[in-house]
Amino acid sequence: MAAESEFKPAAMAVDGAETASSKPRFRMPVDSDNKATEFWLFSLERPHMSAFHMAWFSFFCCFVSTFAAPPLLPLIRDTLDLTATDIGNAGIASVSGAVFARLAMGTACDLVGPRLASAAIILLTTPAVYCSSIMNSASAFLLARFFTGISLASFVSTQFWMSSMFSSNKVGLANGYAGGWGNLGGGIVQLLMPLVYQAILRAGSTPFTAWRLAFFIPALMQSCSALAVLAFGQDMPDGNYRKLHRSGEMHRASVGSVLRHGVGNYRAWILALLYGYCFGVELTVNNIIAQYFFDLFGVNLQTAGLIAASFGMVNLVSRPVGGSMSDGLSRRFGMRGRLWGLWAIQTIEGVLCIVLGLVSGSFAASVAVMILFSLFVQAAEGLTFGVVPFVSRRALGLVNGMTGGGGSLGAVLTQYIFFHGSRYKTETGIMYMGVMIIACTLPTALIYFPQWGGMLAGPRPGVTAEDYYNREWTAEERDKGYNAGSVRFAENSVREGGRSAASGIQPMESSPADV
Amino acid sequence: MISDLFTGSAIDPTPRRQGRERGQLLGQRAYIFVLGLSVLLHPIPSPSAAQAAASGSSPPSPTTAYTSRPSGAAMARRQGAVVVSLLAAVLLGACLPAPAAAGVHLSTLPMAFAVTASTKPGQVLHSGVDKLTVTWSLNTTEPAGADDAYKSVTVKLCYALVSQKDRGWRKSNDDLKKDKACQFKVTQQAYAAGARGSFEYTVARDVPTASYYVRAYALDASGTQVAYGQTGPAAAFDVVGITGIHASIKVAAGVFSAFSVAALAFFFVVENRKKNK
Repeated sequence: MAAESEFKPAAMAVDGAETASSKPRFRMPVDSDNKATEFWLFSLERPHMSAFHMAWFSFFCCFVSTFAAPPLLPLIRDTLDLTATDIGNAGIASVSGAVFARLAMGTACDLVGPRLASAAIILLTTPAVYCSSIMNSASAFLLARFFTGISLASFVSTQFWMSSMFSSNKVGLANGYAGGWGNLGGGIVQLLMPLVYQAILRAGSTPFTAWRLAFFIPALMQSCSALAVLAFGQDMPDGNYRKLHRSGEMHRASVGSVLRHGVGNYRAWILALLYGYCFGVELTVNNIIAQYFFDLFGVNLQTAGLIAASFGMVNLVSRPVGGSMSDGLSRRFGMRGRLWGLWAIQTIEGVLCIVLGLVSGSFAASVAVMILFSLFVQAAEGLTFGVVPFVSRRALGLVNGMTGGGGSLGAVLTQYIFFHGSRYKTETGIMYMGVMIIACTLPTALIYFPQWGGMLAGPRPGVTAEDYYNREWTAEERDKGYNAGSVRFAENSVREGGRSAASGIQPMESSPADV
Repeated sequence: MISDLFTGSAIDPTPRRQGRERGQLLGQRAYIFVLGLSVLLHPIPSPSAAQAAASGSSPPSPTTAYTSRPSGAAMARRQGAVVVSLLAAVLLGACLPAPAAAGVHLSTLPMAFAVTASTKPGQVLHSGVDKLTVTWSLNTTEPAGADDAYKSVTVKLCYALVSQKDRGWRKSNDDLKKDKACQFKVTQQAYAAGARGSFEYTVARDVPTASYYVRAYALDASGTQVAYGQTGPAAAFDVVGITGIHASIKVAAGVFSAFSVAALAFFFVVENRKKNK
């Protein structure tokens, strides 16, 4: 049986291509789980790097569609006769759809795999983008932005897919690039939509028709990227979920057990809170920053849009840097390094947010602080997802979903508390948001992995990663070998214990029959 | 005009404005260029294929894969480079033009004109189709010779207060440079002293749905406002703007939406059939 062969001691240090004869060969070096141990950014090698490129591009298109309306608002608000309240509500609606969708996405990934789950949500929300071109009232605008925003749930499937394709030494980097280059869409669109609008206008259209036609570009991009995922993608290096379920290599998950092990793991909740105060803050700033510079400094709309775009475009490098920082810290200090790095970077993010609110008198200082701030926001996002793959294996998708959903919820909360109505001036709101970021980052200290330690305490002696992941399966399920994937992962994440664990000490191997 | 907000070049610009805008555009383009350059020149971690080959024939297990390139110091150096290049771009951005100087204040201008519009209060006009006639003449209460300085008249369409509510981008401001309520020019004509000026205006196609009133400014030889007049708030009229929706857009949206959902269904069916085979 394929499952039994995985427990040979040789599985620990063997090239994936040399075990059972049914294993496919890969051009990239892979671990015993066929996950890539290297990350070649400019390669399209199948299945690992092609999965990466399809994942980040489809997520990028979702971001472009979700934030396609803000740069065109000066036209849309006149065509549709919107009030500031309508616009604010639509902004909150655009990020709130993803809160629950991300949770559902996580479970869907666990059940049917990331390829089908992401393509489904992207293709089902594309009609909302097409219909944005024919909206004609404030309520239609709100609904269009709400349903379009649901597509941001594809973030969860992107991260899940990367966690399935890349080994633990590169998973932080891969997740960082995929997430960061996807988030880039929120910045690029602030430049893209005005340019598309201008091109259509020059081609002879009237202003009120041109902005409508402009919405077809993000919609078409979104459809095409999802179709590419369906046609060319695969869930895991070995194949698609359906094929793996059928051949018995993969146990079909049950919703109840997935829910129990995701929702019941307190670490997932803390990471959700942390993500709400880095990614959530990024979404909020995407929605308010152009108006902030426009109103406070009297710059024109193009300049304000350009500055807003700069905030998002830093994603090109900053999130991958966060992910690789997480991997780098893990090489030296193990999981404890990842956690300390996350706390430190997100706390500095909070400090910079406070400073941004305080330097509202100077244009140059505000722009400089904003760019530094965006670097730390996005690096913190990368660092958060350096930790997420290790929380649970059985409920990986759900944990991804909870963290992602927490991110969207953070955006809803921060916009509602600080940037809705006229309770605070925008710069005061930004300052208080910084204080809240610092406060909500403190719970990082509560995350503790018995086998690797936490921020304030070392690991418990004698506990291994296998023990931790096997806890998610009952003795009966372990007998049947359902936990094969978890055990392989535990073997491959030995180095999360830090340098000493990686260099010499072999972890105790336990065969399933003994447990 | 609304399109001004985006293109930065008005449909009917004055030469001075053109020059200023060209300068603004140049500055902005330089900003984008430098920012983009600094981001793109940031070295992206290259594939460690070289190291993989160098580690020889040993199987690429998780432990040996960690002996790849040392990245701690290199990463810190790269991050430093990013911050420096971005700050450089930002300083260039700080050279972007400062806000313009303050303009004439409406409260200082005499209300010298009596302005009327041919619309009945609450009448609805359709953009691009309906017409209204605007007339202006010097108020009889004005002293003789008050209009010696008036060289031309600009008539504008202004948002009524009800259409400004909860819409900060249409707010009236006493400083006419910052005033955003009067965005649409009806006409600009030379001022004929003693005569009653009038103009028949077809509501432009880019005037959006809202309530409006009409205001006329008297300009002196340098183009600065020196007097004004406007129709009363009770005489505000409504305009129904163009939606911009054509039947072809509706059809295209419907067709593409249906295609997306159908494509998804197609793939699901194909997968199911493969599974059941």
